[in-house]
Amino acid sequence: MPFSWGRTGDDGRPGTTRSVALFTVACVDYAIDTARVRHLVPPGREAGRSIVFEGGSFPVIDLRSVFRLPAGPRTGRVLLMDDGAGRTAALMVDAIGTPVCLDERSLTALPPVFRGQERVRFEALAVVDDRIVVVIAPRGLLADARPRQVAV
Amino acid sequence: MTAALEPRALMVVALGNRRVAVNGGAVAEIARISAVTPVPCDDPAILGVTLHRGRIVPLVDLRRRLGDGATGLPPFLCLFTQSGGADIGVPIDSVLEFGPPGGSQVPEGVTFVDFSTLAAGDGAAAAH
Repeated sequence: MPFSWGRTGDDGRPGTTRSVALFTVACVDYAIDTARVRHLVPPGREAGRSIVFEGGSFPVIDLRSVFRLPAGPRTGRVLLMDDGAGRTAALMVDAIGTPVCLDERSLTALPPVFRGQERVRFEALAVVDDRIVVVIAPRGLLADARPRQVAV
Repeated sequence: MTAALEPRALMVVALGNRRVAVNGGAVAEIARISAVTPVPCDDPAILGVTLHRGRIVPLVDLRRRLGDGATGLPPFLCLFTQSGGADIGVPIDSVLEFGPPGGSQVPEGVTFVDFSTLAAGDGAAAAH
């Protein structure tokens, strides 16, 4: 299920917005469903192979490595997330913004020219305040993360 | 393939040292782009996406597709097409001519690029 739209009103029909958390990696804005965000951790706690939070283990994933970007300063934040299907991860990101509500009309499916693993990792593109945001597909991202991309 | 093209439908643009012909009927607009949002992807020829007239449009580096190096950072001139039902933008250096004379064939020394195949992600089949 690539999208889990929030529901509004009392009629049970799907709504047209959902809440997402914004974060930045290498100057690019990403969005993840707030329902998938478990906690935010200050930098410096990703020294181990995983972070334990409320009894759960969150393997640290360096998104710069997953996205094949140059290594950045370890001064960002760590976003603890789950994929809604039992997998968890601690994403190393550069910065985390405030949650926003994404309107369905602001979403664009990945254009067909994108044909690689990005179709698994990302659900869509969106426009927030005249900026383009890449919407993460939590299940696809975690399924795609390789052991070599888990920080030690 | 090129024999079926109407000569006036061709637009020839400059791309480095190469002259590239495209189907002029597929060209929606040529505009200067000042910002590109990179989208991490497997294809190094995809520069990212840009916001153009309220739409998110992917940008393909035709130089890289053709093995001519890589386009630099924006701002740059960009050719937009809506061929094949998919928007796509291609950075170019300049427009050389539109509807070149000389019959129905693509001029000698000019590379024809099929944007409909390029937009679909089939870069290998795009250039002739």
